[in-house]
Amino acid sequence: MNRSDARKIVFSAIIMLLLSLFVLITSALLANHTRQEKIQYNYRLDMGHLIDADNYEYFEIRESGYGDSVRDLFVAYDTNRKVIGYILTVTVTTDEGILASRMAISETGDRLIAIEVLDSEIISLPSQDIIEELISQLQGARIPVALQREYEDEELIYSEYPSVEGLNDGVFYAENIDFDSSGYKDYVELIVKNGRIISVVWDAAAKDGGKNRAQSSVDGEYKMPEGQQIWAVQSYAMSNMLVKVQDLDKLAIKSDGYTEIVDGVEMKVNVFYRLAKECVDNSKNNITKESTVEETSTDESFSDSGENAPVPEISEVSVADESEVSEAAESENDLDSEQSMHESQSQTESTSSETTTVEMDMGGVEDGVVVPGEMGDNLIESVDGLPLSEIRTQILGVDTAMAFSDTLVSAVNTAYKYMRDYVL
Amino acid sequence: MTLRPAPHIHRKMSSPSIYLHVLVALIPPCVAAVFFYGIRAIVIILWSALLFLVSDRIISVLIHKDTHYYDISSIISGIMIALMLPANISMLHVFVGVIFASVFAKQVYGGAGTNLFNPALIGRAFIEVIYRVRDYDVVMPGKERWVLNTLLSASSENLSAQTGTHFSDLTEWMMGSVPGFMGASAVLLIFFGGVYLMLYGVIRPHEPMAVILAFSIVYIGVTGGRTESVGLIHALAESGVVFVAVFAVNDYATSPIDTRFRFIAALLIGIFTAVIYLLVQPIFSLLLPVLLMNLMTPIADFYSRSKLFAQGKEVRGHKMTGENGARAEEVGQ
Repeated sequence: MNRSDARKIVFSAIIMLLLSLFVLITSALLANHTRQEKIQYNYRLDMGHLIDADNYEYFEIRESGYGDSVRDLFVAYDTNRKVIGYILTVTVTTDEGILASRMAISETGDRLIAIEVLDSEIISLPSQDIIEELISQLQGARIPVALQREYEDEELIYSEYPSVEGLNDGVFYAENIDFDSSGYKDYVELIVKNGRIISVVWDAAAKDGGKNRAQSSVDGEYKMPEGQQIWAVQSYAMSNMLVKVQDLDKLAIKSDGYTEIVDGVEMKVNVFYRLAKECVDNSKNNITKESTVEETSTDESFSDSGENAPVPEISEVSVADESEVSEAAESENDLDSEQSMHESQSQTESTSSETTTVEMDMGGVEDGVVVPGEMGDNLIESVDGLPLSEIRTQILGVDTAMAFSDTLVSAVNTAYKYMRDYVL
Repeated sequence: MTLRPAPHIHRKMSSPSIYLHVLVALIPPCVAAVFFYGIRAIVIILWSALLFLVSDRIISVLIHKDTHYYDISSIISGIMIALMLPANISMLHVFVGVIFASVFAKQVYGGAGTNLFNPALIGRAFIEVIYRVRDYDVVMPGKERWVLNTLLSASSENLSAQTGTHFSDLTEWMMGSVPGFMGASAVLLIFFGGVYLMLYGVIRPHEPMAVILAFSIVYIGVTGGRTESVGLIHALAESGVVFVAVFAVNDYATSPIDTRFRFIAALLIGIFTAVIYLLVQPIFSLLLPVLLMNLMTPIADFYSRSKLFAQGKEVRGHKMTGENGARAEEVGQ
């Protein structure tokens, strides 16, 4: 082998080295891209029916106060990388067995977008029709939810209070034109499902963009006259009663704006009546919340040309503090790693206790509080450890499968609590 | 005239230049090993190659063997052993395998070109027998490039998740991003090495193609409808059959001299590799068929020898019939 041969071999070696590096790096980039696409494709196949997102990001749940109940958490993003919802897998263990379900929750954490039963070891698993019936009651509902029988008035059943005829399904919204003297603008949001009102929220947005009236009253900032319940309790009672009786006329609101048939409500409720009536009319005419909000904002932009009046947005409908929700949404947008998720968890963990210990007077018994007694340490006036005042929707459940209904509702509420405590 | 061990070929190309070409052909799988397993791959490849070289040299000196010939084949064997090992092997294990291969698979037979078995494969098999490397913790390609601690103490946890949850696609399999061997799974890069050797006439394309074809046919035939294209590539990468096809089947010293026998041996290697791969773990499909061929090579050479040197051909009007043409019959009588 002469020098020329040696040179040739060295040259060949360099070429082989460079070629190998080029091929490896290129293929690694390609493989990474392909892998991500494949993962997203599989996620879409798996979860697209719950939330149709552009991108799903998985967060491993290591430790939480919910043990193994909440297993997987996915954050769903749209094409603009904006959070559009969350998907959680929740396992609930009861005396009847184990139920695993997966559900999609809105980005504000207050609405169940979709739910499915994944795997069940329930001894008496109901038929598919019953499961679908129950799921149809839950889908689109504001959370947390409760079965109607869990309320005090157990005699109140569906047959006694038929729904108003002509209601279209959807979310309907009405709000006052102006802010009142205390700086709040009342609004009512009403959800109709299967022609029946399943959820009513009456609240008021602050002019300065601060806390809603319900939250302010809970925090003691919005005072009621001596001897009256706080505003949040009274508004909740009105909303709850409308869900029960279905018909506004049954609320018997007098010409002076007061009602005597709803326990604990001593304030004027004519604004509620007017706005709820508008929602019912909107439902009959199929004018949904989206179109109402758009119309309102357009009108206001014409009338308040000089003043930038705050218009309640979707997130403002929640009783929760608006700033908390927006902050949570912002922080969620920034979540790009497991670590940040866990940091967020640890941060929210410290504040969650404050949230859950908010006590609301409901007829002399503090709901959400454990009362020891003959019945054992059962929660009085609470559903799945949530105070009744926090319940946003009552569903009928399925009479022939009440145990299963209970379990599924419990799963939804577990997801809600996890979202509230660790994600939002 | 200098007496040198096999291969004896009547070409311009000398043994050192052939070995240098093989060394160049090993660059792509070495690059793959370093790319996927980082610093450990560098250390193990260098350690194995240098150890083999030094061991061969020391033994040559000790037995007063002709040492003027610089044995690059030692480096090749060392590198090949390293490429067939997982990244979390300890240097001690490599030491044991290399010394065994150098002493008992190579020098005992007289050194380079006279060995019965491929020293690299014997060395790797010895490490497997002693340390059960197949039960080692699986190192995921591209995950632990800067880990060094396993060099002194191998990770030998017996994890049941051998396959893991590794997400692989065709590109990754082709590149050798397969848990298991550091460089023996890099199908595409080994293929580059093979093409290089073929371009320089170091190996023929027949045998590598026969091995891969036989393997593919048997694999698809046995797995049937369940096999997808990615499945076959996966098998080609994981079994190490492409590595064997390019770097072991055409080994001048341990494969049959007669090209027909060598081709048949290649077909059998492909078939056996597929069967063994489907039945047991990939390490056995990598080693056993070739070692079996090595064992049969002397027999094949024995039967093919009589046909060498123009037996059965007409030479100047005579038909050569006897061994080495000793008995010649007049043609046309």
